[in-house]
Amino acid sequence: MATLAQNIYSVPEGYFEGFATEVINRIKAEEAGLEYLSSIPKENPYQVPVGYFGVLAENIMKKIRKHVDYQTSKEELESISPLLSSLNKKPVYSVPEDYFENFEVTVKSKPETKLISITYRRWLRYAAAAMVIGIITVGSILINNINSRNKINPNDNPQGWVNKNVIKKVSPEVINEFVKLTDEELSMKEGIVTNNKPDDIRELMKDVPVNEIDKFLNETGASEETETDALMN
Amino acid sequence: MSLTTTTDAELLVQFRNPVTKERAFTSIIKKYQEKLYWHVRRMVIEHEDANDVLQNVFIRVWNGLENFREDSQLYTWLYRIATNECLTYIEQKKKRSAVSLNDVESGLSNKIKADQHFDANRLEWKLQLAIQQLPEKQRIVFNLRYYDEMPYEEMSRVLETSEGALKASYHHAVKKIEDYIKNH
Repeated sequence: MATLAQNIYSVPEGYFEGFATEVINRIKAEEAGLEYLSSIPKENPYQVPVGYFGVLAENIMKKIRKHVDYQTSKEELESISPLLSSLNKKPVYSVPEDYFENFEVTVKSKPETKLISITYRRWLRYAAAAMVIGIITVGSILINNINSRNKINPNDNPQGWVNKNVIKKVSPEVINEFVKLTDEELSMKEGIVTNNKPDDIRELMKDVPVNEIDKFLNETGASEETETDALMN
Repeated sequence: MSLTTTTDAELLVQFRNPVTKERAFTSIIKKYQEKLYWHVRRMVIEHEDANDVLQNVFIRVWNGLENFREDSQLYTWLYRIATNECLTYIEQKKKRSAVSLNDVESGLSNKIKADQHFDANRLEWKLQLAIQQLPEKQRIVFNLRYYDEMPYEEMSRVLETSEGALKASYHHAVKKIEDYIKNH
């Protein structure tokens, strides 16, 4: 028991001896402070407009009355239209019997649908549009390249150009007709030439050396006597 | 638990619980169906049209209530949906029948006159005809203030218009209606 009564807490040395003095000093200090405060005049240093409090209540009421909901709807209507305020507000339209008792709302139950965010859907749309544009662009470029590769320069390859751009587009019958026509024309022209008299040809060729004439004849393969004769003689 | 004692907050909690969702939704319908019905009926006149619109309203409520942010009263939100559905319905009717606005308004007046209980001598019926002369939005303002006695502050949240503008619109509507009744 003696061990249990022993105080386990420590106290500063000389604490209790000086305690009373400390308390008294503190009281004196507070009283001195209060005394100081009490020496300060209690006049209000702030100014208030003249007559302020006299009109304050009325000013506040004016503001309250200005508020849209100051009046009840009844009071408001009475003030603006006594005629309308006197009318019976009972509904004039009829309602089927037991309508409200039997009123039901059919909300169709849908199967649980996956929630897709609107931004995701929008992104999908943009992506699809970009793909379509891309395909069209690439396709146009490819087609353009193919066309340019297939282009034949008529100066470099006239036969090829004609074959590609003319012959292919024209039917064989038309070509044959054309050839026949040109042959006839040519024949007509040739006729004019062969109708030329040998004397005339001789006259034309008199200044041309014989070996030149021979060379020409060999290159062109002209072997008909009449012609050579005409030329040589 | 009776409808009148279940608060909107409680109904919302119940709605968000899958177990009590349908029961809460039914409670919401029972609590607000008449108010919303008359709000709609005054705009579209005919019961069949009002029924269609009211169905649409509550289907929207079913689909949207889960995400209702509760930044306004449930009542305000419901009225906003109902108002928008009315305006959409009227707009669609205009497009379908390809008539001018004036013809639509006279069409609504004709529907009033076609009501089996219509009595041209009764002021209450004249009031209905007068209301139909107002532009759609002004009609809504008048109905909400006159019949539902909705405070402007709340109306402002329903219609997303300033309170001052709504008050001015209502006062203007009252004058127009008064003139109509006096002259017809």
